[in-house]
Amino acid sequence: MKTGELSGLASHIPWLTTEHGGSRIVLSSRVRLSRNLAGYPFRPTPEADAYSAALAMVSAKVRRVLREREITPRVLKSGGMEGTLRRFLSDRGFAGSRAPQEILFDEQEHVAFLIGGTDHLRITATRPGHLLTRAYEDARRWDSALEGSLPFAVAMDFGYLATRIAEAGTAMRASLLLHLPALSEYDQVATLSETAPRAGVRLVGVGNPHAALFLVQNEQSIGMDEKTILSKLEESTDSLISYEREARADWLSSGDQSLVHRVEHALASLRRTDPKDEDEAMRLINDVRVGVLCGLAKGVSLETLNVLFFLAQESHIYVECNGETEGENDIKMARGSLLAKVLK
Amino acid sequence: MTVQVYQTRGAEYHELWLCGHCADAIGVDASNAEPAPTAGELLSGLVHRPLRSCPECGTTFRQIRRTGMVGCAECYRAFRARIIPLIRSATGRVSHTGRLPERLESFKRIFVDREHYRQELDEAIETEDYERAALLRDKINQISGTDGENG
Repeated sequence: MKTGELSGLASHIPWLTTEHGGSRIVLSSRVRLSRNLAGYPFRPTPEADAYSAALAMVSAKVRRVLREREITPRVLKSGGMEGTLRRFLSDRGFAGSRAPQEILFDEQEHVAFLIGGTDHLRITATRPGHLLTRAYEDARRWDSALEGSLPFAVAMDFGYLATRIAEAGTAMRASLLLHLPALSEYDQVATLSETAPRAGVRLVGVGNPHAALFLVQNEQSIGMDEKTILSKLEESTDSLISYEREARADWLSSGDQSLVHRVEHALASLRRTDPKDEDEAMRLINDVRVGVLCGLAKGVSLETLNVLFFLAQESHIYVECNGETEGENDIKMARGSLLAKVLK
Repeated sequence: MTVQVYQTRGAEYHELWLCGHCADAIGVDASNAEPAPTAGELLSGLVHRPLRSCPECGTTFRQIRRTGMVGCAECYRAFRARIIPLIRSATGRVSHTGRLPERLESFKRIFVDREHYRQELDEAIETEDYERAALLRDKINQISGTDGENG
């Protein structure tokens, strides 16, 4: 895959809009269903024919159901993909530890079909804001549309047979992307991450740690039905939202003038075109977002800042520049210019 | 002497390796164990031995344990007894209760759920929990009724 194939993708992230349920704490909701075909190897084998046949069948059926719904998918082939591009797809939530061979998704990136990564097929549905049930309904609708023509591997006791045995059962990974700057400021996230498994969920940092972005996701995929998994996740998310709100209220009521200065400094720095490394950029975007949430920064939308968390990452800058960057300094300069342009 | 003890209860599976002394200590009578197979039995393939690798894709159980990943659907069947404890250690539960493809939903409702409720009904009657027994009987009738409508 070449950088040019990603053109247009790097400059906007439709599932981070604040319309339709966009929230001040929950940036997006995502549900992923892993599926494999019965009678075919789940992973490449020395005799790759059967594995390739499985992927070809999945690809053909996915294209057909998209065509039936008059959706012309954007298609990315990840063959020969280099490190930064692989990271771009991973940062975007399109790839896990094993990059898929092919990705098909709709214009709004509400649904993505990842073919040939860890599993034969991963259906990923994403919605902006706190819309987990909607994301699940989307994923389930596509799953139902495909199950009639694809022999998904299933057993009564193990449920859907995922490649990773810990993901068998519903083979569902549901997650919400949260911005938790106040809990991060008060060093509370580590404690919450340790206690989260008791509620059957996992809280993990995502992307650059200075962005204070976290994923809360289900820990178990077997032994509970989909609705119970989603409801436990919603319950934990509600608790996290309430902890974050309390921490923000404390932060603001402390009358700490340094917060006001931090926000002013961050906005001014971001509007200057000087080169910035990723850590610095994420810290500044985080500070400005806190400022907007606390009413300390005007004239910047939450949507813009949500998107900048992604666009200021090295992988996105690289793609935005069509791969025409030569080294770290070029990336820093491009990042500084991009941030200044967007926040002008 | 080493004694291998398997215990299966419902979906639960336990496997223990004990030395002769420990086996005696917990009351396992090794003399009741299956006799060692003869060379003739081994050669004729009459004796069931734990599979070393999946007959379909060749993945070994050691690979599954190391990577947490299977090679194909058949691995789940071939190594079922040994995969259950792995899933339990990772998730705490092993029995699927979520949705299934439409083609299997009615099969599950009629053959698996009804049988499950019947077992629970027997238990409820045995423990004289008649309120629960009535609820379970309603569920069984409901499934049977749906079955009849479909049939």
